[in-house]
Amino acid sequence: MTPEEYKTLYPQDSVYIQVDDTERLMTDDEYEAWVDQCVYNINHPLP
Amino acid sequence: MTYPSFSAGDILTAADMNAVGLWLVKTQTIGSAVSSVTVTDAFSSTYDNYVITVAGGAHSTGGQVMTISLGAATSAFYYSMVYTSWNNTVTAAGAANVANIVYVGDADTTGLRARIEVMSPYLAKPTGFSASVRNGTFYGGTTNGLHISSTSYTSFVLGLSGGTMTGGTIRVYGYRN
Repeated sequence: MTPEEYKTLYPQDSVYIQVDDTERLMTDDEYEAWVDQCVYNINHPLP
Repeated sequence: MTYPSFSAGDILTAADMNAVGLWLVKTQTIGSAVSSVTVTDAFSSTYDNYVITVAGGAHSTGGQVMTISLGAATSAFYYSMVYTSWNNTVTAAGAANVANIVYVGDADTTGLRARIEVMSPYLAKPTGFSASVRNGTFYGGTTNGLHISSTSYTSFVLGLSGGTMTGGTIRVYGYRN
């Protein structure tokens, strides 16, 4: 999976970060880092 | 009174209550479509060791696992997860000096499930973790982790290897010192 494909599945305006009872959308940097980490995990499954 | 069996109308003495080993510190409901949940004021000087549980809710796609980190720390986490694919062949995964500890709970469309032991997070010493994970029909394993730092933490971040989670409850319990 590519980052672009992942972003299609999870657009930036659809994913939230929660702190206690407060939710907010990710900043651009947070979103890019999150996409990269998720794509890495998907592309590196357990043996 | 014979602890821990009580009868209706018994008076709970200080000795009885001081013998209670596990106390609920905090309950946090997970919101909608969240990638991570930070739980603040979870750790304090009152308890040295904790257990964090997660129940209910659902993951957006399933096939993912939960992660945990402390406060704002983004490095110095070490973990090892030993698992089998529901057979008798043992395999392992792990990482050193990474941003969080992976494989600490299940993130499935049928629900979120976790029981994470956290050792000494508030003490200014390394923090230990012990957890387990089950990923559908793929595998089940046990995870041990360590955060090598002399920082004291009051909060933790429960995240995911991918996707989002909706609903469910995080509970933090402290073991009486």
